[in-house]
Amino acid sequence: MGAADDASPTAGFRAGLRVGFGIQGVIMVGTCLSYGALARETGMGVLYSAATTGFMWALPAQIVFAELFAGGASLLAILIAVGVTNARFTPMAVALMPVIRGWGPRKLAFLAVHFVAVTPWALTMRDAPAMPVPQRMPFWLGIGLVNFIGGTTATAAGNMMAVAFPTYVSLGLVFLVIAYWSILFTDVPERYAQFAVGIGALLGPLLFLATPEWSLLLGGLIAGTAAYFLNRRLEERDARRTAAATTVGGGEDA
Amino acid sequence: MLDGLTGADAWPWVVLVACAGVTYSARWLGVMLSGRVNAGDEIFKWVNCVAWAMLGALVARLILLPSGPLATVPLSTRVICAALAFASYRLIWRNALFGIAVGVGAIMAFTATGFKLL
Repeated sequence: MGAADDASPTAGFRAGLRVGFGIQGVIMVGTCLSYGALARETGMGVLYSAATTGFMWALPAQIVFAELFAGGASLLAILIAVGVTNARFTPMAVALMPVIRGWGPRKLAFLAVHFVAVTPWALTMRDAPAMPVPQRMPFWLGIGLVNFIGGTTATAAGNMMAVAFPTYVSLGLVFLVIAYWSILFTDVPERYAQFAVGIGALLGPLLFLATPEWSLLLGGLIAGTAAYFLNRRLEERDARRTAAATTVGGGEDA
Repeated sequence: MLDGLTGADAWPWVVLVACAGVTYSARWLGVMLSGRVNAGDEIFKWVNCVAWAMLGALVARLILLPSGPLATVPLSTRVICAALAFASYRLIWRNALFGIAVGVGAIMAFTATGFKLL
């Protein structure tokens, strides 16, 4: 891998493009194909469904949007549902920016943040910290650009091909992203993030039964805070043990 | 079809642009709040925990309580296929493509044949 040795921003961008054209991109395209097909079922045309992908760039919210809009919900109801579903972007962007910033004009962040989506976010949070700082933003933009072009095109294509899909193919496409996320989320290096994913996964479905619309937000706050404090207690315990071991060791030596 | 741009057909586009605005505000707010946060800070860790917990909650919900086409697949099949994807990734080669192929292949095979394991 030449990109790892070469610290230039261009190499970072190229690495991002490679990711976008790799498995990650295949998943993104597959997901958008299935969304396009779903959008067709709710009455959206080719251009309109592609526009929902390009403007929102948030698949779970797009699905909520499609269902509500097709059902004739009011604008306010749709806006609240979309807003709540997408509230996760705020903590995701807060976490991402300190990792990728350090290259290009500061205002670039406002463009870069539009590309925040679960899959590239999880991948970048996992891989970017190991890269030189000036490579990270270009890396992110490289993935984002390929994803964006691929995703909007695939939505249009899925919309056009919708009728041609047998049930098991559309199911496979929907399941593609779930299978990828289960793999990606359980592969995070930091212990606190592992706790957060685990507690969130336990709490999320329970909260969803109680309050479907707020479950993601509440689950994230409660499970995330629990994971944070659990990790902190363990860190303190580890620190005490290390300190104790050092004292005992020192005593024996003396 | 929601594809028009004029007259009565403009409404879907108004709704879409409003939703896009709400979505982008959540991202914009993140950029604004991130200004004073550094990657090593405790607050960064906490926010990171909240973000990851939301994603954990999301994927668990999609497997256990899906809406849309997946809801027609039995719960046991969904759980088994997700577990298969995860296990094939973890136990064999740590290759994401392989794990995904196993999971997706399994759910397509189960659905196409109507086979139910549990």
